[in-house]
Amino acid sequence: MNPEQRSVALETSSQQGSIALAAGGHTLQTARFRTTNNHAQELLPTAQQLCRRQRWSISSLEMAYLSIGPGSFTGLRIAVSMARTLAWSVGLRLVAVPSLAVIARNALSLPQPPAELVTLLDAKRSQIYAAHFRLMNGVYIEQRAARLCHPAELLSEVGPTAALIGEGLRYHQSAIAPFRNPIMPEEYWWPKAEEVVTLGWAAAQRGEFTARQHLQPLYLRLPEAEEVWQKKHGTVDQGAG
Amino acid sequence: MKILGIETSCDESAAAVVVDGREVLSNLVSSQIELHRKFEGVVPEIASRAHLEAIDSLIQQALQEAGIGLAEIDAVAVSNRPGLVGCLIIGLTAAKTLALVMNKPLLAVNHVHAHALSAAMTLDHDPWPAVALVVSGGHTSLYYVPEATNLQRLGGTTDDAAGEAFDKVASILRLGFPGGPLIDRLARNGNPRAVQFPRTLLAPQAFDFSFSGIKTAVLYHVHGPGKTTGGLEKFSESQIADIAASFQQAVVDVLITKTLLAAERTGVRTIVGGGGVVANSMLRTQLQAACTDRGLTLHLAPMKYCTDNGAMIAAAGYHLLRAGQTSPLEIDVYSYELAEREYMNRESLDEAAGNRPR
Repeated sequence: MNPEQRSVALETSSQQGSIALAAGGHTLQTARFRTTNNHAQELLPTAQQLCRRQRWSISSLEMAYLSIGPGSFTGLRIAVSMARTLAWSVGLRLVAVPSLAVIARNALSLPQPPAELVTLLDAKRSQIYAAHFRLMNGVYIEQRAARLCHPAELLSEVGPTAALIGEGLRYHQSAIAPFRNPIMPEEYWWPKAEEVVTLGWAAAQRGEFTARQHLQPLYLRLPEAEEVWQKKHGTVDQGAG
Repeated sequence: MKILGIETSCDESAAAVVVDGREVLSNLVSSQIELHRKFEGVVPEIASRAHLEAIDSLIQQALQEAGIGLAEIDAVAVSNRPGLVGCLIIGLTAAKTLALVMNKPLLAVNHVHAHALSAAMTLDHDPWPAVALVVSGGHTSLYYVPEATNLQRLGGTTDDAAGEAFDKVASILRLGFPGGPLIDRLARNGNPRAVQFPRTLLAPQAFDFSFSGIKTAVLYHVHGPGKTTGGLEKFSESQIADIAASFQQAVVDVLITKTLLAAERTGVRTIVGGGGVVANSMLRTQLQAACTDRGLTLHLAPMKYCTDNGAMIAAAGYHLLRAGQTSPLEIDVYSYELAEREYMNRESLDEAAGNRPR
């Protein structure tokens, strides 16, 4: 794999969006969106700005690393729409990166990264998206893949030493507080495009590319109307993929 | 000029290539009706997911069918308002990306305006000035249109759009979804005068619409006063057809009354119509008869351009491009019509009427 490959990393899974340009796994530039929850307006102009500054044309990009979810459905779809369009129009390759693993990487910047870590995002309806990691040889290794659950259910399973990180902490304080798990500082809660670069490049080196027509956000839940319909009609939940 | 048109405002993903606003090289629509049928209405989250799966391949196919490469496109037009925000974002992001890749103009199109202009796509002349009636699942609007890039809103719905009322009445009558074509078909066997449903005209000179009263009248007629369930079983098949026909007649009467009033007040001699409900056979026949009686010219969108489509977006985009009204990459989506043109007030109506031959 050419370490100079021109790459773009898109992080739109949370309220705070960001984008990075990279040569392979080396981040060259990053930009945080100026406002929160405004990805539709900011994504393309920010990409254009970064490319201009780097003196790259957007059509010269060779790879896109995407934070694929779970997270804000709308935010994720904006990045996926851009990436899929780039894939067929300029022929770049796509690498999907789990958003909860992107957040977990923030903890590596702490003076003492916790040995055990749970990343969590708000999933509404009293639920969270969560993943469980262990620190091994300086990287966080996923112990259990991202899932949709209730905070108490998750924390009962992982035990009291697992540190907690992610913006889901803001919305589920009352459910989480009784478990007394250590909570990482708030400035480490948000996913960043430069961490998407690191994970994306590693996945690309392993040959983990996603075909354009298969690139979809990791939803982890059915649309609410479908859930209600299935409940009403007694249909078995087939999952959201 | 070759314009790529992209449409994802509701439950149809669409892409088209149109030359100079009239010559349609390709026009592809991927309908989501089957996904929404069991919910008897459009589910925004399901619609958003489906658009994301469909739109890029649809754009590629539209270019292929048109026999041109991406580099030959002169501009990208996309609907960015009004509509379901989560759906509009999918098409808008794809359009912005293509505009950036090709370094070509981006044209943000008002979806309802595109319906209003759609009848003109198949004419060999510009029909303006005209009054435009747009009736669809999400919109019921009247415009005064002196030219293709100047649509002045006269009125709109204050509650349900006409198409929404069709869907709800079809649900009350257990006909299925979408309601428009099902009621249209059933009504052909019914008596449109059998049940006298109300015609809500609001104020005598008002151009706004209200269809929730007609819908509620059907609800109580079927279930009984104040009830929302039961009672349908007491009606025979022919009585249900009578209800469908009578409801449809009430909606058509209101639409025609307001449209003719708009023509009279603005002094125009031409009426254009677009939107899914304009495919309704009773509306087409009776509006044509009313226009003929009054010596007005009527142009309705051909059936293939009544429902949401990319060709009308490309055609509307062409007019924006000619007028230099391109959009920056920062442009957003909106669930509502921007207040770029306020409702016409009495003075501007009088001015329009005074300037136009009667």
